Amino acid sequence: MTPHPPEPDRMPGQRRVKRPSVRLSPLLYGGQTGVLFGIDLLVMIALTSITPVFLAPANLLAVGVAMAGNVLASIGSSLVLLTGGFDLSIGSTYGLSGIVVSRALLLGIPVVPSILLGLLCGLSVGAVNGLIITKLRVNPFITTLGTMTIVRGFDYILTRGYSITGLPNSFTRLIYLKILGLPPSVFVMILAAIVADLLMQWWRPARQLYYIGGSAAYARLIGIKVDRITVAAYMISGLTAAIGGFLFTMRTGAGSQSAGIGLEMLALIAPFLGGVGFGGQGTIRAAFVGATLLGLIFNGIQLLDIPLVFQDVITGTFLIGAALIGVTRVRRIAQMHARGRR
Amino acid sequence: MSQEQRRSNRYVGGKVRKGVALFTGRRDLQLLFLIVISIFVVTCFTPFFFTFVNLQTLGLAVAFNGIVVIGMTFLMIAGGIDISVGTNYGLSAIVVGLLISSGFPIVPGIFIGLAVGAAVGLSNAFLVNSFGLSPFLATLGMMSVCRGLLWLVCSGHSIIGLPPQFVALGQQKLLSIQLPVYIMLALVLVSGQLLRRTAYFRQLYYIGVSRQTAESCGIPAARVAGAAYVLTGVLAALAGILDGARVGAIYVMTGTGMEFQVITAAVIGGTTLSGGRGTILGSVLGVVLMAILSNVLNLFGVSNYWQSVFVGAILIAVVAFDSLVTPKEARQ
Repeated sequence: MTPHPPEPDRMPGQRRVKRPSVRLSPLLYGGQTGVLFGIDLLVMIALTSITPVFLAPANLLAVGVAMAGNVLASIGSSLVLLTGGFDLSIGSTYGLSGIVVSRALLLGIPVVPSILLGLLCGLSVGAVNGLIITKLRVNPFITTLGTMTIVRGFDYILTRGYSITGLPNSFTRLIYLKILGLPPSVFVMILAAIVADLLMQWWRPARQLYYIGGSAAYARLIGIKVDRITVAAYMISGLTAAIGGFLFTMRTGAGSQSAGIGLEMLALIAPFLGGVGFGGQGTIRAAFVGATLLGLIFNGIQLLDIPLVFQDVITGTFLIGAALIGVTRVRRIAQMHARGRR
Repeated sequence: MSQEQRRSNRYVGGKVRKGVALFTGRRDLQLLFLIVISIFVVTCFTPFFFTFVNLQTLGLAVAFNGIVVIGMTFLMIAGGIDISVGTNYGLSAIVVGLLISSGFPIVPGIFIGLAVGAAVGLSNAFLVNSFGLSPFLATLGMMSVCRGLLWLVCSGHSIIGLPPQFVALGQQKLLSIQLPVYIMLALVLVSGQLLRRTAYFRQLYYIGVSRQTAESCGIPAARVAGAAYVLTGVLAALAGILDGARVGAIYVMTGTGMEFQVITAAVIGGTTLSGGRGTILGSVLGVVLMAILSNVLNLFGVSNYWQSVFVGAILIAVVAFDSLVTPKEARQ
């Protein structure tokens, strides 16, 4: 088995196109992950020079723990973005999984089956999304907007508007578990990112997502089971959100009805920053690096004592900025192809 | 049966068929029918629905979303969307509230609020038209930015103690119906006529069907669609200010989640996300239907939490129904 190229910048058989000289070229063609990683490093250096607290192991772990949910959600979101859809129900599913796990634990169900139940909820929300989008042909935006509201409604119904507390010790003490010296959420986050990234490079069904993103119609013509893969992408998106959700509940020791509000947006921004999703491009790595940038900035906001309200402004500006870079990039690549064809 | 009779039979059949065709094609008529039936059914089940006070409540519930849905319909017809209406609604109201409660004159204060709405709309238009961002992403970003600005401006406090002249704007009754209801009705009538009869606004339909074709026909697509964004912003601001006046205080969370209700109502009313289709009447009837639904669920004591489940399910069901009924050729 030979590795497929990680980013199909050109189609097989197409001759290499001479890149026009543009100053921003690394940002605009392919090298976005590297540049973003450089920005991450710059932010880290800046934070370290402003406050030495940043480099303290406890703070670095806190950054990791805080961004775990976002990284997990971004992985699922990236897959969905590659199919040309959106998943806005990520935040509600994140909340639902934590709540279902808490309810199950309080009913006396052992820890592992409870967690599996939570993950099953995530998978089923994703399956519903995927089936409505592929079989009923409803626009992904409307579908996931609808399921977002429905699932958030269930979040409130299951909690009756209060956080579920008093979870058994056997569950909450799992956060003290150290795997390779890392807290469980950081470990799961890194593991999931590595596994997803490798699969997206090597595993045929995962690679087919790129073809679907390029053109669903052509993907269907060359025999890719577009509907099945799309449903799977939504299911994985639900699953990763659910994993993040139960980790959050484990950490806070409560099933909160408002957990994950706004997460769907962060899970869009991180992949966009990494350039995922425009015309079937991007890697999980890129999404991870994007999520890291968000995590660093949120950490910086806390360390520097900037009012928390700026977080919203920064998030929004980042979303717009990331989308701008993405749009410019797609436009340049299209120009490049057009020039190459001539 | 003589030939004459057969012909007249066919004629009657044709008329019926024509009537059915008219009905299936007209979402606003279907909704009107649905609304009348649901009012009738609900009145049979509970005596509290068809009372004057409840209808008043219903009118007010429709008024604010009704004003916002007008702008959203203009925009969706042109193939755009605005996720930032909810925060825009809150932000403008907060700005007006802050100005007025600190002694600024009322009328200029309101105009500043409307200007804030217009500015948000203009930035949306700028992001979408000049940079080619997807309307969904650009306005989602703007939503977040405005939500942050809102918290910054009011530093997290709701605004109370508004002057009575301002509060009167929302609470004054004419023939025992509150002012915002009249404002909404007037806006619906005017904008409905504008959309149907003026060449300028009819361009929105062409832009929605195909922007490229519209542009090559000489329609200044960027400018017309931009105008729709600004209009949406101004209307959202107006509704927010009226809502603040009606409540007599402006809450920080005002308008959260409104974008969802408004888009749902417009979609139920036959306005499509892909653009090129929709009427003001349909969208407003969509708002009415959703208001009746939520009112009835309240009357029957159904928890608020279940309401969001119903609304989400109805949204998906309507769009799924549309896509199943529309023949494949028409869709492409």
